[in-house]
Amino acid sequence: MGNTLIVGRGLKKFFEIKTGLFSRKRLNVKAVDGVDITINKGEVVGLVGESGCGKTTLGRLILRLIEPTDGELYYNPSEEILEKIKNGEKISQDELKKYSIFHMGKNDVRELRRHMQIVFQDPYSSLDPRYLIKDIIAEPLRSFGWDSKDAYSRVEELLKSVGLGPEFMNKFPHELSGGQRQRVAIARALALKPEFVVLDEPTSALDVSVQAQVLNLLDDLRKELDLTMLFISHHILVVRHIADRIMVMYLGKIVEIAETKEIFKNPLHPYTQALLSAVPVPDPKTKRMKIHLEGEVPSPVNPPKGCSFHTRCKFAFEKCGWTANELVEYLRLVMDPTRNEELKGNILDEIEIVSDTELIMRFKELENPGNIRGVIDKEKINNNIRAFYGIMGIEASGKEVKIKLYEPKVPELKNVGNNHFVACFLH
Amino acid sequence: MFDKMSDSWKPRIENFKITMKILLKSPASAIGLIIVLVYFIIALLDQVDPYILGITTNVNTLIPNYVNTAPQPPSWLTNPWDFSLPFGTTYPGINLYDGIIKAIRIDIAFSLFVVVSGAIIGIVLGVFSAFYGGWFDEIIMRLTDIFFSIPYLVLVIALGVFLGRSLEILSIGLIILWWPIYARVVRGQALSIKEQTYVEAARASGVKNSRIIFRHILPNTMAPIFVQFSFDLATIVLALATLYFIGFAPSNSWLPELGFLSSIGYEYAIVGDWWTIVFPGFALMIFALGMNLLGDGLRDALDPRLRR
Amino acid sequence: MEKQPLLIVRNLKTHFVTWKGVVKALDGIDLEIYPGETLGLVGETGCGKSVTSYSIMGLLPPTQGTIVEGSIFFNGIELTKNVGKDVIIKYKGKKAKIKVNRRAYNKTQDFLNKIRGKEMSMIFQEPMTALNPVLSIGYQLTEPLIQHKKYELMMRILARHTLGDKDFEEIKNAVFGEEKERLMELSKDPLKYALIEQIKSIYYRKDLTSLQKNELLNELRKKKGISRFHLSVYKKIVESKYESIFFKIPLLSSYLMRPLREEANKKAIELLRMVNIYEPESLLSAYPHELSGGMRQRVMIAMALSCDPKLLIADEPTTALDVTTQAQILDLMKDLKERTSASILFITHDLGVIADMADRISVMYAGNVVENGNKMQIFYNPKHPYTRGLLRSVPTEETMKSKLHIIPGSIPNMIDPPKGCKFHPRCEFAMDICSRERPPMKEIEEGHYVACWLY
Ligand SMILES: Nc1ncnc2c1ncn2[C@@H]1O[C@H](COP(=O)(O)OP(=O)(O)OP(=O)(O)O)[C@@H](O)[C@H]1O
Ligand SMILES: Nc1ncnc2c1ncn2[C@@H]1O[C@H](COP(=O)(O)OP(=O)(O)O)[C@@H](O)[C@H]1O
Ligand code: SF4
Ligand code: SF4
Ligand SMILES: [Mg+2]
Ligand SMILES: [Mg+2]
Repeated sequence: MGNTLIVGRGLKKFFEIKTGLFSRKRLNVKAVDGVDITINKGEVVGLVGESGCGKTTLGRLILRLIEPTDGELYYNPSEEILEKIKNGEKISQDELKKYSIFHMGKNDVRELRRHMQIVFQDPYSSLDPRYLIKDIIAEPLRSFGWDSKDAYSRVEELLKSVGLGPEFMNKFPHELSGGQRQRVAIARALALKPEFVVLDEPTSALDVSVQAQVLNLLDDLRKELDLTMLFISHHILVVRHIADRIMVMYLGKIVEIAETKEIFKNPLHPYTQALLSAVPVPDPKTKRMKIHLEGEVPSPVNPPKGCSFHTRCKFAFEKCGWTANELVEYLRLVMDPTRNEELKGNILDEIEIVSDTELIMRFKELENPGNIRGVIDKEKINNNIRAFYGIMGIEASGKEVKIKLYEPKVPELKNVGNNHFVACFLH
Repeated sequence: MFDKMSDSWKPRIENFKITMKILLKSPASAIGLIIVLVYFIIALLDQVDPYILGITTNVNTLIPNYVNTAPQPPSWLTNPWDFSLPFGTTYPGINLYDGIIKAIRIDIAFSLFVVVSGAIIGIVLGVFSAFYGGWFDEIIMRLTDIFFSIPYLVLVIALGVFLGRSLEILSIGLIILWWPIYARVVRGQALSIKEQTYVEAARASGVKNSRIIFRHILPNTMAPIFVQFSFDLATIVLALATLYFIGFAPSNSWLPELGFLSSIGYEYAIVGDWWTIVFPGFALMIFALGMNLLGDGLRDALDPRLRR
Repeated sequence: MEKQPLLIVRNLKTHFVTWKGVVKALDGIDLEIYPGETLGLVGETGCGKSVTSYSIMGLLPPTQGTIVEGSIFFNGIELTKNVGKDVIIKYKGKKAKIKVNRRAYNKTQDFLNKIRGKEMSMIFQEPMTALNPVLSIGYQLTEPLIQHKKYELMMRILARHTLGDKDFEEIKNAVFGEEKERLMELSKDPLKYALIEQIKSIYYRKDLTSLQKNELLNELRKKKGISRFHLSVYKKIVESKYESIFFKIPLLSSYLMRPLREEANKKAIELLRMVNIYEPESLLSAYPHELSGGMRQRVMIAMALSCDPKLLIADEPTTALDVTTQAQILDLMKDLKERTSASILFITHDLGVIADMADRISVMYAGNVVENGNKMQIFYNPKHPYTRGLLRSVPTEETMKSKLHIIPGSIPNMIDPPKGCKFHPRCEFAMDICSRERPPMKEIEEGHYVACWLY
């Protein structure tokens, strides 16, 4: 058998949302937008990113708790399939039905739950308030046909392995603290002795001291049971503690993957750098660097073209996917002759967006067409208007000035050596 | 084994105790609970053995006394130690004590039947329409809309006119009208429960849909159902009484019913025989009051925010 | 020179009555905040951080809990005069009941209202609960200004229209040259202060070139949009300080209010700009649920700052936010502190955040302050076993791939807390005395206090 436990290619999940109370228009939230993922046996992979970037959705997708929009996902794939994926060969429908989690029938997916489990983010809502702890943990066992006596004795074992005494069997969730609840959730996930567990922000709702307890517990369990884990968190320092490899996610896409040490020593993607710099370190002497991000995450309904990070990237340049509508406001600002004297005599009438990569400025009067390029270049440098980097050419004819932009291209994950992948045109 | 059983019941009993504690903390709901218990005990005793309550007959009709049809005042008015006719009699010579006790049983039984059947239909439809959504949900919801827009008196009267005026027809009419409330309440509740992580967690544990619906979603929708249930028990009794009072009684029956007794008494009360309406009227009112007080109390006691 | 603390909290005890028993949420805490400093309050869930802030603000829900003992002095004024009179917890054996004396309670609230939202304001842990969901952001920002800040709004208008060119130039130069002392001096004149404020808001804008800023300044000096009548009445009102009379005459008042409403809008926009919201005009008509978490928190901060408070209580202002947004808000708060010179009580459970923000730190455990000192003392020389444990349980570079330090057990129940030192069941150094007597606060180096029998 191979060493690869999970392989996903082109995973996508779009959520359909209604726009208004009465409107019929539907929009897609691109929660996960083309993710390739490989997880090896016995490995802990960390997944970090801001909230809303699609981490939870990806986790749920891998377990097929939600229906995918597109993509293929294999659990424990054979060498043959791996080879085919590697070479980009087509995989036949029959094979898909048999091996791809996304194409399997309902019963096969249910069978897979024995091997793949999840621990949810919020320990307060992930336990049914009307169930006793023992029944919560026994639930997966019962649903796979264990009788109650065996199930309860296994529950006792499980409780012990997550550091809780048998007296917890007959308690209700509301009698437990957050840390204890999260332990119960972990025990439930481990009940069927799975090989693979998704941990969705298992410590985000917990205090530092409780977080330390849970992290240590996970560490022990992992060694003991030889678990493979996908550890999701928005807190990169927590991920560093436990993960072998880290994937950084932004707006539904993976932007960087590397070994933990490597990513901290040599973060390549500007987003990873920003994320690292934003983390407050509990040490008054290390000052937070100020390359944190301006603005907020763009809406996943309409993510920016090209590199989706370009709206906030400090290094964005020509190729990063600027579109015409991002330039309009800036052009209007700088074409003002009171702002830039070189443009005296030019009176701007309107700006028309022809396509994503082309726009036309119409002037009422155009006396100094030659200075436009110079002004744009000057403003680009002086006021750091990065959108102007997207300009490929400027043509003046009559009273019109046509501006052409570079074709937006999406950066692909690229190996830069050392098993370090990054999706950025800089590398 | 027995030990284990009792262990797992302990926390449940504990939980129940907490609910009762919160319920009894407010005097209003404590009074409501006592009233409701008294009524139910009366109904139960009457069912088991009416003689315990000092009733003279055990037939299910009012027994007129054509020898002395005029209403007689309660016996203790003339002789304070005479309780042979505690509530007096009403036309035509009906012993009001007998009548009211029996009426309480019949009214409660009728109301329970209607509300329980309506609730079961509504709960099942509501929870399925919330869980599966889609066209099924759409149909159920439009149906409830239609039923909500019909005034219940009109529908019941219409049914009675076409199908005959019997208690069975009445109850069917009321059930048809009453399930949509439960469907709505359950659906609303179930929609939010469905999104709870523990439902997803159950799915991730390989639990089948039917079990998710009946063991996870349904039990968690029950709190507002209980509240609705207690309000409705009162409402149905009142509705039945209203129908009798306006004269829409099942034809030529002498069924003991509080509204019916009130409607007979009404004419005599005008001419001064106050007891003919006061006793059946109060019996009705206090029951409705008790049920409503209890419902309000339950709403608080079952509120998860108060249980931390 | 010894500075007087702005806020002094002494032996404060706040209890809640629940059906399970009395929750001793605060069990005698002491705090001091000096003018211009940021005091960090750290501790884990349920240790009483929020209760501390609610107690100081007087916002405890009176039917659930109240201050039962101790005192709070703000700026030399005692806020706790009515303790034990307005809301009373009565014990009957083990059971307790809470009684609200409505008249006394209302009196307390009236008294606090004069301070709250003017000299002291608060940013809440969950911004959604503090913003009214059915009112627009614009309304929620301007209404308090119109109600309570008429005087300041009139000053702003008068400043623009009556100050001469010479004053204007002088102020402009002082602001643009960042001459702090000069500004302090000029600020003493309320009219000039009102202008400084407006010029500052232009100066600090990051999205404009200096040319555009100049243009805005010229705009400011154009005397238009208001009648002579308004100006002269405003002047009268401001000079006589009898504002109430004019604003009580029915028709006249609405006539007088109109420019003030406009001015309030301008001020609201300035406030939103101050918290780095780039297109504030469009935000004014939005409703809270349309905003992202970060935006909401900015709006909350803008509201809290609208009255130039002397003390700002920030209860976990960034806990609900992402790290990147958190970094923005923290930087914003630092900037604002420079600009406004307010003291801040910064509450958080995140040691990283506190290391970044606070000057001094108080560590809380189960309703007590167990250690306090300046930032360096707490981080590099922690003394209390709890503080040490807490600092060591954070994953850092050193702990990578090894075990984290663990404080065994969990936080105690606050109804029946452990006797003596509340930390003793979890403490690795616990001694006999620890379970019997409460350790007193002891100064172990200058400004560094610890409540532990080890010292
Ligand atoms: N209204 C209330 N009724 C009863 N107990 C209360 C009430 N408010 C707070 N408490 C209790 O007071 C104690 C302190 O609560 P507080 O909200 O101050 O914690 P905190 O330190 O702010 O925690 P967090 O980090 O979770 O915000 C807790 O034990 C809490 O349960
Ligand atoms: N059921 C859903 N319906 C609509 N949108 C959703 C749903 N679940 C998640 N989303 C959206 O998908 C995006 C990614 O969400 P999520 O995976 O939960 O992010 P994360 O876990 O990284 O915080 C967000 O914009 C979120 O609003
Ligand atoms: S491709 Fe790289 S440089 Fe360009 S916007 Fe994206 S992250 Fe920035
Ligand atoms: S007083 Fe005792 S128990 Fe408390 S922290 Fe100090 S040594 Fe530990
Ligand atoms: Mg998530
Ligand atoms: Mg709090």
